[in-house]
Amino acid sequence: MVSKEEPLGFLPKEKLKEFVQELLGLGVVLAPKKEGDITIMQEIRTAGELAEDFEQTRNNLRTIVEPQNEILLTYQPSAELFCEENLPEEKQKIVFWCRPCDARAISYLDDNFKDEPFPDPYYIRRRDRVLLIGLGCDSPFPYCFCSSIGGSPFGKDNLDIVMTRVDRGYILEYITENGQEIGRKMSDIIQRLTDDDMTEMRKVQENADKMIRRKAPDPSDISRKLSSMFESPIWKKWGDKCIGCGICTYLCPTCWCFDINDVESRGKGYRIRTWDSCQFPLFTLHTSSHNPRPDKGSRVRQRVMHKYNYHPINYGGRIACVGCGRCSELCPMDIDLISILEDISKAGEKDA
Amino acid sequence: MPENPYLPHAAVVRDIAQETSGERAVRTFTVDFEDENVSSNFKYRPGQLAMISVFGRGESMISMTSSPTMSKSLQFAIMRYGRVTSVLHYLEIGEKIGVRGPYGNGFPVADWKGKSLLFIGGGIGIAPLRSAYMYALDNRKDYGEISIFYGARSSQNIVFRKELESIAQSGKAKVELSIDKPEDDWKGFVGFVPANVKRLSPTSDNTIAIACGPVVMIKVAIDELLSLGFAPERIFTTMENKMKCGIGKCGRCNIGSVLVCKKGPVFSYDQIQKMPRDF
Repeated sequence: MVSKEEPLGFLPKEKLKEFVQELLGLGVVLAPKKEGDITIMQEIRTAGELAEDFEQTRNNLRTIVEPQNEILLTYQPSAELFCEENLPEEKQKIVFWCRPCDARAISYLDDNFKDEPFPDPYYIRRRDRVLLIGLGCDSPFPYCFCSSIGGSPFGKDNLDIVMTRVDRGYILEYITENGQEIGRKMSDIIQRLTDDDMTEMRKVQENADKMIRRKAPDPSDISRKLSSMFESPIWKKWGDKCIGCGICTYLCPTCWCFDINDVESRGKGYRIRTWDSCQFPLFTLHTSSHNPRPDKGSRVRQRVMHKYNYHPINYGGRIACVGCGRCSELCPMDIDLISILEDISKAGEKDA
Repeated sequence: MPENPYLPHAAVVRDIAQETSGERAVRTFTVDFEDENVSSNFKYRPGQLAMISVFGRGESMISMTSSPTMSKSLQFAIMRYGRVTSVLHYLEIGEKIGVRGPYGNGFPVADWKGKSLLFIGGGIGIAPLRSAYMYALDNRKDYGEISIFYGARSSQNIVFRKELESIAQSGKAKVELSIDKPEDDWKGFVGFVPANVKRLSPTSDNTIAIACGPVVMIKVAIDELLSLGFAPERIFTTMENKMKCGIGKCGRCNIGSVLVCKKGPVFSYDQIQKMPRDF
């Protein structure tokens, strides 16, 4: 059924704070907030905490659906009760002003955590209660390359509303029924937009595409070439440069790997899940001391293969990278994912 | 929402059999779920896995060594080795462990009907094999010849020795035991298992070979099987990799694009040949 409601709305600049204040009444609001020199997507309690001008948030939305640490179960060794599940509370969360690439990345987390026959109830409970209001990237960041990997600075994947910043305020595009519902609730703040606003919105969006300076080689070509590059010498080359700190995986919006451990404190036991990284040697170390990925080259290979070859094989050709550029920008050794992809592109040609 | 897959079920240890002793001792634990419903819902195939929990230590993925044809109890033959398996050896009868599963694909025992089965095991690799050969012995008329080649470092390290000897005596299967180094009282073959296979050269006619054990043993055994005329798709083995979730989520047990916990642990040699050397 086609909705008769307006698919667009206009939020005047001076009403932004009021809008955020209203959101705070609807659930827990997570928004970009400055912390020293960086911006973190985190809970805000007042509209004033929102960073109106901000660089790419250091974290991504993984934190919200798969927290860095969480208690899966509790146990009490001596008690009658064997163990008890600790499913998260189903609080409504509203993410305000996430970037379209980070929203898109959730699709890949969904692939993993919703996969049958064992959908992950911890993830799903959080995921089902997250509403996403994105802010389109009118001025993409230096390391961004979303547009060469199937995304766009104004992409709509997984978003309920996407906002475009124009001169006198923000244009809201309602994407889902949940998004429209927000619009209805804010009807006293949201105005109709003018033809001029529409023209400006189109211009801003077109311009953003042109501002993305970085370009990755054709991802489906990379994906195909990787199938015959498991033994390629390029992995040793990049592995030698890597220090194995794992920051690329901790910052990646499509990484989900985790560890499970038991910890005890004050007589109570907790089985906890924590983020883990394929860049650490312990990740795959067997008790026998055999390690299938014993060197940094094999671990760099795992990261790239997983995103660009294994995930597409398992999930209908979908490449698990959104081109946010965090791994390249924040690598202490300046290992640039695009350079690795270019190496694959070249080496693959030689092999062919 | 379906049940929480991370939640282990309480299982009571009913019996502990000391199979071998020493630093790397093996014990077989027989356990029963506390909850009758859990027990009747736990339907498994030979070669499938379960996540065993000892709260405070963590979890370890272990293959069922029992066959679903044997009883409602589950059995796990566990070598004392790592963080979890070491404390498992301190368990006493009546104590509880956590069990969740079953996981993985298991052996395609239904596809093997009408065929002869050649089992080749080394060390603790006998654990998953036993699940399959006990299943075949309990459905004896469905299978042709059943042969079990099993080798251990020494006669003290032979797991399920008594049971294997009684299977041999029953005539239901041929059992060939071997040890790696000579011992005064040992009358059987001395040498590695694949060498024993080579010596007796079992036929590959209408036969499925299943090899489990140390990686080196499997490699040599597969070469031997190929030269005996076994087609790669008729040779099966189990792969293992470190696992934390067991349900295809935690991201570490993959060999190339294949998650061992979901698509494995049983693979044919034909499948393994197509995998990258990621194990």
